[in-house]
Amino acid sequence: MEVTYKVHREDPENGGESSFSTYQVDLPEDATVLDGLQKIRDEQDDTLAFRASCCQGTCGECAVRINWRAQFTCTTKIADVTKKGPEILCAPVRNIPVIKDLVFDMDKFTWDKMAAMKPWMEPEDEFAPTENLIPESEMADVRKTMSCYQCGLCDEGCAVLPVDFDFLGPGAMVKGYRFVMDPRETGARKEERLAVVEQPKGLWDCVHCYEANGKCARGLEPSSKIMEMRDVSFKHGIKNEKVARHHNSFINSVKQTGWLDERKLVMETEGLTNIGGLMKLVPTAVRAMTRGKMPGRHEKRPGADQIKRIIEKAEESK
Amino acid sequence: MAGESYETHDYDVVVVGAGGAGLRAGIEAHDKGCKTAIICKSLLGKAHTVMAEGGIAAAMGNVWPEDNWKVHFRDTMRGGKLLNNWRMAQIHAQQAPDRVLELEEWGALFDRTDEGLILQRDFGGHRYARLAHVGDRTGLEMIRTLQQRAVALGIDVFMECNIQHLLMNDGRVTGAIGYWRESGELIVFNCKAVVLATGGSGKCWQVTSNSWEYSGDGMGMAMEVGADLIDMEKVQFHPTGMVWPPSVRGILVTEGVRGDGGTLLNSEGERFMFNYISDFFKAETADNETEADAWYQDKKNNRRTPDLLPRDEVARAINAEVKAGRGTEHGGVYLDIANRRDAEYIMRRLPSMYHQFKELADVDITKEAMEVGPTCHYIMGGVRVDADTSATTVEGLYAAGEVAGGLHGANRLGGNSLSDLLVFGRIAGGSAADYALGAAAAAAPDAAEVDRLTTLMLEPFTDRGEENPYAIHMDLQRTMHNLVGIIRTESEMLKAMEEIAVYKERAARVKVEGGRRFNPGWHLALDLRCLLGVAEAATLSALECKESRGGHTRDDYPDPDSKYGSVNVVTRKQNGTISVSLEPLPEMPEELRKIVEEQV
Repeated sequence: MEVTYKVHREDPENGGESSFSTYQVDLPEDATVLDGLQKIRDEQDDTLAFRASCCQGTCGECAVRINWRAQFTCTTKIADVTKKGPEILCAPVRNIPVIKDLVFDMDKFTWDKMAAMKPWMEPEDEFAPTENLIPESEMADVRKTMSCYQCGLCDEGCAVLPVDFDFLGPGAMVKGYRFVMDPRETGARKEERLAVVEQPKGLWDCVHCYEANGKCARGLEPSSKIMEMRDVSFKHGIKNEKVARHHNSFINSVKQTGWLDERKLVMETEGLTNIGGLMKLVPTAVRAMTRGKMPGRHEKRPGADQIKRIIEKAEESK
Repeated sequence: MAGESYETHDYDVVVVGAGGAGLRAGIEAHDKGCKTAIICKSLLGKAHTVMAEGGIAAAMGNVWPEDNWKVHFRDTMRGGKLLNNWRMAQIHAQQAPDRVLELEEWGALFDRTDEGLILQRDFGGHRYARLAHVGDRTGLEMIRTLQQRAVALGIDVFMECNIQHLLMNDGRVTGAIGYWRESGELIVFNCKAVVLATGGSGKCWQVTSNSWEYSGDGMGMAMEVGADLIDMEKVQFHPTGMVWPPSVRGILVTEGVRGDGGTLLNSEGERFMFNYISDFFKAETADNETEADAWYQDKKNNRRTPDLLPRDEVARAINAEVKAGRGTEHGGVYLDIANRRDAEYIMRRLPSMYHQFKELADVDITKEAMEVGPTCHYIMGGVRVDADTSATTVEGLYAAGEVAGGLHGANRLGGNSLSDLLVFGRIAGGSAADYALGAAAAAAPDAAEVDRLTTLMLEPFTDRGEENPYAIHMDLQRTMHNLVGIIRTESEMLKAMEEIAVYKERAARVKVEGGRRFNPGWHLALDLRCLLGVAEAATLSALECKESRGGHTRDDYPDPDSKYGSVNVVTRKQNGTISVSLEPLPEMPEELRKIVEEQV
């Protein structure tokens, strides 16, 4: 069938302007989007840069936005993306810098962020060829995340990365999960693992939009994994001090008054002895006051004692 | 173009390739105190190892306490039709279990037995369930563990950096030159030792399970500096590749399907493998369906199903069935697990296969049979190495993994590749480090030689013709598929030699468009040199080897010939031409010969 490919072009060597090139390609009905890109490169334009390796959906190297939806080119059939018309648009994934055309900078995604999760184990001592005894049942949680492609699709959907590129992102978090939940990481090692995922720009910066769940080609549900790690963190005591203060202030406020006291929350999160941190809040407070947006003081509300009992019950049941 | 600029890096050991063997070699060289670089032409963690499915063969005895290195050694030698380097097979069988345990120390987590030990699965040619695995994506867990270990140790990794030539000084290898794919800038490494871990050359063939990286770089570069290659005609056609639809033809279907109970059927619904049990395997193979099926549960009292004969035997059988008109609509045979195991079991044991068929062929393997046929999968031959040190015949050059030859003889057993990478990756990295620590500093690369090579690498940008590199590559793949494929004959191979000569001339007239930044046409134009070199070496070896054995089948010499039963076919490049000779295999000690010949 005759299809039209509209492919994003960007070459920093030629000024880095981004544009689209259009190609007509004749392909069999059951061809994949990758088949078309390869045909264009082989027969029409051998400067077209894109990545692909295994061509069977195993390696995760060929993530591209096809008709604006990020997918693997090697497992996406042209028939499935031309139902609304014969045009196939290919653009690089979002949130990761472009090197050329459809090729993006995996250094920034894979290594800088994944490596921050310290995804390895340190042997305790000299190598001793003995085996760990691990019940199969304890592997269920980690088994799935072990199959992460490191393809970048989850980060592509992230709502935080466009405003804060330093956020570690769902991809790195899934890698963190794989070790936090590893049945061999117990005791002090488990606490260290939690501290790693709780570092600034880590676990607590996710805004739970759940986009990553829908993006993951392996169905690993990265957003849910982040939330599961938060639960584990609650149980072990939150390691990130600022987040712990935020958490405690929130609960205490609701427990004591039945309200969330936002003024107190902001100050207690910074830390009442953290003068530098508090000073940084002053301009915001001034702006809020001049515009009449300063939250008011909350008196203890009727029924606050019942709210307190609900919270205490919930805390006991954890 | 002389005087083209390039960046220079100094290391003790440079490892080319970052699959299982390269990463394991780099880790070992680093651990021995060497300043080490790992260079990979694709992204870190995307090397071919990531695609390995079934598992790592290691006689740990977790499922069958009867298993030990001697049984693994025997299976490997018999699977390789005794053409293996016996010492490599022995070291491999002895050291594989420790390499598996070591991976778990670094973070890997394998599937478990009921007792919580590492689970092992059945595979073709292995007497006992022996493959340590993680579902059907063992390679992914293995390469992640190794790449993360390399990052943890702070080893320098050069990603998407393509090495093109080895640099020599005073008869020893002292460096390498290549280019960054991203920027197109040139890069030179000065070092005391180089480890080749570049994998195979399956991209010489049309129907292949191999990805674009497999262009024979290591074999080609080793040949250029005068290293010996052995047994280049021994090519493994994996019996089960996908055959339909055309765009996925050749993609691998793991042997684990048969290991977990799947069986091969022809278009008449017959389990045809019972008709193809060679005398060599008669004593240990079931000759009826009842015994074959019982073997999965009780290996002591039953013989193995012929569905799990070594790969060369099964591939030839499928080829013969299709030729006899008993193939499927698309020219394969059926592989059925849907009627033999329940859906839950299939989904748990073979999740990747389920998704692969669902996504690419719209086939639900829990309900329907798959269509499969042979696909070029692995090169048993490769750079000749010393068994104990992985040293090649050129000083300062080491090789491990698929790029090296010898361990697998005439045919590789499934699962023996991942263990090969770990065992010999470690040995090669260690030996290269020992050599580097004792060697004098490498002399600076000869400026004239570097100029010559940079000019060579940039030639495709000059005005020298109109040839398209992709067209040449496709023509080469078709030639190798049609004329040097699974069944070979002299007249066809002579024709292949003529065609390869034409492709070499055409390759010299390749012109690429555009600039040097991430330019795929240029990358392939450069890869053609090794692709063509390896194709030529394989064809010449195949012409010389006038018999059929393992991964080399001749229509004109259909039987094994004792003349070739104890020799390597050696290819060597001297003064620009490739010579072929037969050289005797090392003699196996008596006690090992007894193990191999023992009837079970």
